[in-house]
Amino acid sequence: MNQSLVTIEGLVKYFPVRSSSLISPKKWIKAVDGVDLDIQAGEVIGLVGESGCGKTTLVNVLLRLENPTAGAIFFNGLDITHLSQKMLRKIRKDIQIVFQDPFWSLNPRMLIRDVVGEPLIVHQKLSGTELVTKVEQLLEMVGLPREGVYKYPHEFSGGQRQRIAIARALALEPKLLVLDEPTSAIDILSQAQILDLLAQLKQKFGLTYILISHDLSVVNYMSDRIVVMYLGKVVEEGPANDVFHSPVHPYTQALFNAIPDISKSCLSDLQTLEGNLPSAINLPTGCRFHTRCPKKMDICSTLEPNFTQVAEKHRAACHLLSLS
Amino acid sequence: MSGYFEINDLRVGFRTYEGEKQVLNIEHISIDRGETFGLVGESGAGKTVLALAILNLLPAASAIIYNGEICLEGENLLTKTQEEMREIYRGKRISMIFQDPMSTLNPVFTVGQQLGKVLQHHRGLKGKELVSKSIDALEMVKLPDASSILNKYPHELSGGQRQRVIIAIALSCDAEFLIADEPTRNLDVTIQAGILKLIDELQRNLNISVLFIANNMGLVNVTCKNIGILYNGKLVETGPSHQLINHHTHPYTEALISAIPRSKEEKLKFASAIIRPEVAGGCPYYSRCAQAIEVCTQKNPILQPISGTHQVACFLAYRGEQ
Repeated sequence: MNQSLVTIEGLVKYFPVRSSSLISPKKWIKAVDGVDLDIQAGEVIGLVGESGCGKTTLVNVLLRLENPTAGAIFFNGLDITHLSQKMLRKIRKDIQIVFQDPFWSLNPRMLIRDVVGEPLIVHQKLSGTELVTKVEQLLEMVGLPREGVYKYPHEFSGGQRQRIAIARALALEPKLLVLDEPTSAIDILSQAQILDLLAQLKQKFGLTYILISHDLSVVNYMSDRIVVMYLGKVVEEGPANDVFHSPVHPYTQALFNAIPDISKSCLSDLQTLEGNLPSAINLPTGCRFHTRCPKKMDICSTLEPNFTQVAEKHRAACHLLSLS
Repeated sequence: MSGYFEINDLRVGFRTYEGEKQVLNIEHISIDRGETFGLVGESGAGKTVLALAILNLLPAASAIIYNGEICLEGENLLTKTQEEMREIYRGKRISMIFQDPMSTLNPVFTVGQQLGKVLQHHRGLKGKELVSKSIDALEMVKLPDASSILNKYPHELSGGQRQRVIIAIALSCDAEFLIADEPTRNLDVTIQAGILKLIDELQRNLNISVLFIANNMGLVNVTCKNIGILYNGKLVETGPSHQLINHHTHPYTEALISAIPRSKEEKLKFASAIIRPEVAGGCPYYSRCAQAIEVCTQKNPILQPISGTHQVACFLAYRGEQ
């Protein structure tokens, strides 16, 4: 059997809400509420959903930047759910992250040598010319000139900064790279270049990606498998092509039909969802999506649906599927 | 013949430490009453500078308007004083929706106070009348429970709700010309679709003209009748949206469209990977153009009609015509 790189079992993360009175019951924001996920080495997982659905919390817990409320996380067969910070540091060099906005994620007062070199200083104790050479190699790998070593982040454009962030993430040759909306803050032409670079690097180093994005065309282009989240739960997951071309969950359908694409010619082609994302403190009863679902039935408001297998490796949690 | 809204030969620059730099050079844009015009370009292309120039909000200390005119019903806005702009145009006849709904509203005032300020200034409303007009404005943008939203602070609203409030403020004084500067940036796709539909509906019902600024061809395709592509401050191609999507001729438009990821099988093309040194006096896109020919380094192409209202500024396109 294939060895999974990451296995997440029943992961739960609740955040406490400060209550106004001492005696009132404590409330919780249920950011991630029971997620199972299995990631094979070399796979690209696309994680999609509206803001506030728990994508970022899920990743933060996976990286152990937050401690999980319940559930277990295995990385490379090792249980890292309760690992101490000291032990985690050794694991962390195998899991790296590229953040959303390259204007915020690079320290403006640090030279690129120090920005990209910091993980090398911490983990490999490099210094002097050795460090500079290594950083130069990393810059070259992401398609930036070697001279960039002695520049500051503000001297680079958005796309270039994102390349620097990628160079930093790859400095320690990680196995898993988390990409948190890597192209949402940059222009479409730079986006194409960054996506191409990421695809090349994946080939070259056999990387595994978790790609978070709300741009579904990017997710479809990059991923092998798509996982759709809604209010802390996975509602549909499956091979990218299946999920993109024949989504079965009404939420996934709404999400994909809302993209203004050049193939759609008028606004009436776009689907809109009524209302806002419900509060994660007082979750709706039954199916979490029933308050906004265009295909709502009576059962949806009382019973939470379980996963139904629709095709090989493609499953979704919706009552409509168990009917047919 | 002069249209409802026209920009002619507009050139804008900024004073910098390295001398004056021209950032905008627009030969011609014309928008009819009730029309939506889409302006597409990368960041730094000059989209927002154009929007600010129309409202006469460019920083007086550093911005220079070399020449040109921006006309609303024949009145040149560039010759108006700040006083006239404030009283007659800005917020009243011309309104703007800014980019980021998270930072456009003032966090220390309620929605009602911010909406009321506009109505008070331009229409002199007070008391009950002010409240009822404010509620009308919020109902116009389909915010449920309008009277309770009036007393809320921006942080209590979601991104989509805030953008609706901003649209309500912009249209509360019956503006006839609306500038929407990337109105759905930072919003989720499902919310974005709702905002786009709202703008479209209001535009039809109120017969307003919209200058829709975006960095995405898909967005303008579904919302706009005509599109202009801005590159480095210059309009490089303009025409009806279906024409530009399906029969674009400028290499930059081609690059913008082919950079949209479609499927795994189709590899992304990006002409912008080519970088040559810029040539003074030549075509501004020369440094990144995959199909550049010799004449591109010598002259700056001007917009020329290809078919109907479809115009393009590229020597390759002219050559194809001859």
